[in-house]
Amino acid sequence: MTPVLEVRNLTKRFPGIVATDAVNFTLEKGEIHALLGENGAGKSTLMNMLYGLYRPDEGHILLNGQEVHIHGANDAIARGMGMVHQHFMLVPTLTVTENIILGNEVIKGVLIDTATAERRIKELATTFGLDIPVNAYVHDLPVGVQQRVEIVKALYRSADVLILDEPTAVLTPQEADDLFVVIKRLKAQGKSIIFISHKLREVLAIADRISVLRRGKLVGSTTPAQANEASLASMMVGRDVVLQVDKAPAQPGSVVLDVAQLNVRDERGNTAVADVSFQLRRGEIVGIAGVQGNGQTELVAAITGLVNATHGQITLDGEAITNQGTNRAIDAGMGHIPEDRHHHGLVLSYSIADNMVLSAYDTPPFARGYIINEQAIAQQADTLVKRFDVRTSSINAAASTLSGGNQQKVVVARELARPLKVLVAAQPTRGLDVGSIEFIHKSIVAARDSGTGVLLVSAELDEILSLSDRILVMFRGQIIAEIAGADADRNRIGLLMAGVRGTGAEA
Amino acid sequence: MSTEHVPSTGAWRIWATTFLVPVLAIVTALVIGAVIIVLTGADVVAAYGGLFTGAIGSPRAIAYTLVEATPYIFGGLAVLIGFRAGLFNIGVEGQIAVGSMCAAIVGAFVTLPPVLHVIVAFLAGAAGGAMWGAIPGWLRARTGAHEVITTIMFNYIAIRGTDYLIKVPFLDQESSSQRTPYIATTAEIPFLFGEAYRLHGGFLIAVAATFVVAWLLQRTIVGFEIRTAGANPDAAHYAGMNVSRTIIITMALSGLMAGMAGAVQVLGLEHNLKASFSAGYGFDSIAIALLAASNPIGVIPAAIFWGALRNGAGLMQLNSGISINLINIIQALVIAFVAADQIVRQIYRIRTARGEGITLSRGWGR
Amino acid sequence: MQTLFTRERIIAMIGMLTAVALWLLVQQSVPGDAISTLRIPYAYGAPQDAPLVDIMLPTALTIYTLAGLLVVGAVYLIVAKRVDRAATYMGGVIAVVIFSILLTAIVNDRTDIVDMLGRMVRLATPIALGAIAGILCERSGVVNIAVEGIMLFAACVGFIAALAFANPWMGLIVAILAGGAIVMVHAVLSLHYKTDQIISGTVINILAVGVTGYLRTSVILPLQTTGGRGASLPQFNIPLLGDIPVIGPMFFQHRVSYVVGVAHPSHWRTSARRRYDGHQRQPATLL
Repeated sequence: MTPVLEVRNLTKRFPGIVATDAVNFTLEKGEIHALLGENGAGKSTLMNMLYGLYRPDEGHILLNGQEVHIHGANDAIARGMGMVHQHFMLVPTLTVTENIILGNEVIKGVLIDTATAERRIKELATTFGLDIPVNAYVHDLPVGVQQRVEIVKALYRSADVLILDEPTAVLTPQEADDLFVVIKRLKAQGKSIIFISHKLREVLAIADRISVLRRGKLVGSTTPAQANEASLASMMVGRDVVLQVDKAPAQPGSVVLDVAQLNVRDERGNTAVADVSFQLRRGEIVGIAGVQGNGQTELVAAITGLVNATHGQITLDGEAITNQGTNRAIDAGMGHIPEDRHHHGLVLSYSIADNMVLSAYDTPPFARGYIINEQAIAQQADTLVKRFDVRTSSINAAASTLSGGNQQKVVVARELARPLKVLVAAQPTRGLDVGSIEFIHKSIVAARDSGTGVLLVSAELDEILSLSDRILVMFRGQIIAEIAGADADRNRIGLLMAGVRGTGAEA
Repeated sequence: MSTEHVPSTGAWRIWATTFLVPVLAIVTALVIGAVIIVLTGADVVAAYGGLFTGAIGSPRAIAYTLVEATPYIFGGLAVLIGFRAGLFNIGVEGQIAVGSMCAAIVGAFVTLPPVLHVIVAFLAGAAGGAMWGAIPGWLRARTGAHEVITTIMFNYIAIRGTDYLIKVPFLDQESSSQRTPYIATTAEIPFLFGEAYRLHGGFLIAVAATFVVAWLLQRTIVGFEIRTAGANPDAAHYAGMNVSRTIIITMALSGLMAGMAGAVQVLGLEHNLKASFSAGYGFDSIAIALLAASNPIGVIPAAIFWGALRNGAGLMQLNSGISINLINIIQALVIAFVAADQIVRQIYRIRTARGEGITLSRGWGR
Repeated sequence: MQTLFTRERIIAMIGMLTAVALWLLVQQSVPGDAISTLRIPYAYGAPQDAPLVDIMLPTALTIYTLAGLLVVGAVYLIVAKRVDRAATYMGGVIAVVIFSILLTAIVNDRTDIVDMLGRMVRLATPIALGAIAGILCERSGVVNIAVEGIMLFAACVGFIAALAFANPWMGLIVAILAGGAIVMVHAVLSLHYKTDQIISGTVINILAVGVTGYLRTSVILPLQTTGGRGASLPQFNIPLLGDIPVIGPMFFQHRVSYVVGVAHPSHWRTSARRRYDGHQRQPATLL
């Protein structure tokens, strides 16, 4: 039987790297084909070529046995492909119906025929078991439902091939389970699905076939029956991963960060952090586990002074820093590896040297009075580039010229260069290669051993488990459990992250 | 474009790549201008010859060009400082109006000893402009009101307001034209080569201001904060900078430059303030900041070019009968080509340098 | 502090101060027996015809009454804590001030109020159209500070066309097309060449000044000297509606103002899409 979709020798080069290297890949009708790979392995590039957003340098794309050249997303849609992006392409201020028909409106005279559109959407939703409120505004909906809207949007445009890009990244385990039910029903109705993920467990649970991408190359295909997590992981990273970090038992000292009854609202004014209290001691790593979007971002923002808390106290080594802004927190001895290095951590157009002093630019020796001391900055940058093994041609190169791993090293180096009492590390290794991850993990442990209290926030449970001396589980803005690092059991934490409270050691 | 990342291949190359596009933009605009002249059936040689001679054909022409360039240098710096912080100061026009009003009042109605009088009058003008810039900055920082909207509105207030002040309370009763009285001689910025050449000390102040701004942006903490707030305001906030304060400081500095423009025009050149005095400086200042590729030093040649066009236009019209408005067309084309540098790069096959570009402003409300 | 100076209280205070100011002003400058006459003519009445009605208002008393109403409104605002009515009240204050100025300006004299309101509508037309153009752009995420330049350019080209074809309708059509054409400059610069929209707007504004000035000297003046004369669009008097006193002359005896009414709902169909498209698509601007 002819595959619905086939790519042959698809190659895409970007300056300096080969993003996909002669990739061959087939998708059969009614199949769920998982594409597995680390961030940066080339999954997104491959999909963007299929979706017409990039033009391949070499190779062919065949749809139902016919070679096609896809020019842009509209062309891809016309050819029956639908993509659900990791970041939803929805307009929050429009209703579900308006979002779905956007660009594809049913027109009656000069007005939009909303009634007919709604009827069609409801039909689709019933057929595929996708429960969506057609008249609700998108910004009122939980992410799981928004994702369903995205799927209906693709189906509304008669998609036969659905590409789901990291669909579970933003979902709770329950929502992910609901999504899997939907995916299976889509499959039963004859749709073909490409499921992109770097999460081994869910790929094993849902896929018919699994293909693994590594550094732009397709390193192998397998089925869930033949594979297990360990074999997939080693295919992904090219060697058996040792995620265990070598570290001595923690020697916790006095309390250095005291968070009491903290309440924080998110951008939309909803309570994101509710009555959170905990203490962090010198020389320990406290990990905060939780599915993304359960208040971790807001908690970190409030502790580091980026946003104001509505209620509660934050004390750093006896000094009240609640709602005093970032400058006060930095002066009090707080370091912050931000969740999003492009957003907060770096000024991409600045040189590495300038980025290395971003949070210390106004203190000696980098500033003499109001004048910048460029010599001292260059010296500092030289030292840090060597110490943290930042791979760059020059400290004067723009930060934007660095790879993700090296950019993150710049951030980590800068923060650890100051004498810190507390380090807040949010998603410190997201999207990095294994080598950089190891290096950054070691740096964090070294900071702990020198007496810094480390607050680690990560969506990767493995990272939390391997680094933390104590683990707090966050769910819907609250800390619902505290577990000693040594006693941590991945299944139990997994349940807690989903809000299932068992019995035993809960805060 | 930005000097944040300096490759180690020598200063000359950087300057060449920085100013290549603006120079080619000017050339292209002049060529299109020539085509327009031909289409209207006039003599290109006579027209451009007149433009050239009128602009730099004699010592006096050069002096006049520099006189024309002086307010543009200040105005360009004003817009440029905003650009570097990611702010779009469209209010230069209004800030110049307020600055010139303040200078005119202090110059004409306050009695002070020589030297001191001119300094106080100049500073009054500068401070007036700074205040007029700082208010929209404060509104932006405090309420999030977009500075483009507020500065446009403040232009109206300033221009109508100064018009009223000139025509009613500060009108020179002994003059038939609508203007303020002449400033005291103690408040005049002296001419450099006598009155015939009109070139006054304000030009030197403008050049000095350019270097001060360059130094301020590149070598001081405030400059670092301004640049960081412009390049990535979230990172600036993260790094402990007070972004709101930086916005206000930037707008005040920007207004300060515009206020100086108004002050030197009154104290150095006009010696009084006429109703509807500074029409058009606001948009031209944006053009000059663009033409300077957001590099403070580049403002000087850009402003001189602008001044030359304005100064030479008269002789161009006289020689060839071409309307002065052709200059506006050429200027608009220059901005278009500088702003959309891809056009120029396509025409002349220049490859795009990596990592260049400056975010000039963001959309409404982030 | 915060509870003392709530928004409605501040606005009520402004209203009361305005009332006091009006009172003092009238007491000082308006004789007690002064009369201001507002004339309302028949729908098609000439200035010398007998009016439909002359409304004769005792100037001082009327303004005192209005000032009193402002005080009553202010008290209501404070007592009932109607912060939601504060904006309406503020509008009322402004209306009262303007009306009072009008009354004092025509003490012992009269003015054709209908004619005045009609002029208002006429003068408001370009502003309203410009505002609609701005709203259209704003809805789609396009920053359009070039409305002024577009208007100028379209007006100039339209005028040339009207002269050249000796037909005002051709002028109108060409003006609309010219407006659309110059907006394409904005579109090409900001979309294709990724120029900042404020800068491309600036380009259009400067370009419009230059081009129209240039066209005036090189095209319009020669055309006019060779005998071309501008003609105006005819005045449409909408039957029946135009016959209504007051409202008729105000809204239904104009040349072009109707366009505002037509232009407004015309973006219904595409508005949702424009809101989404944001920076990706340049809507054809109306002007």
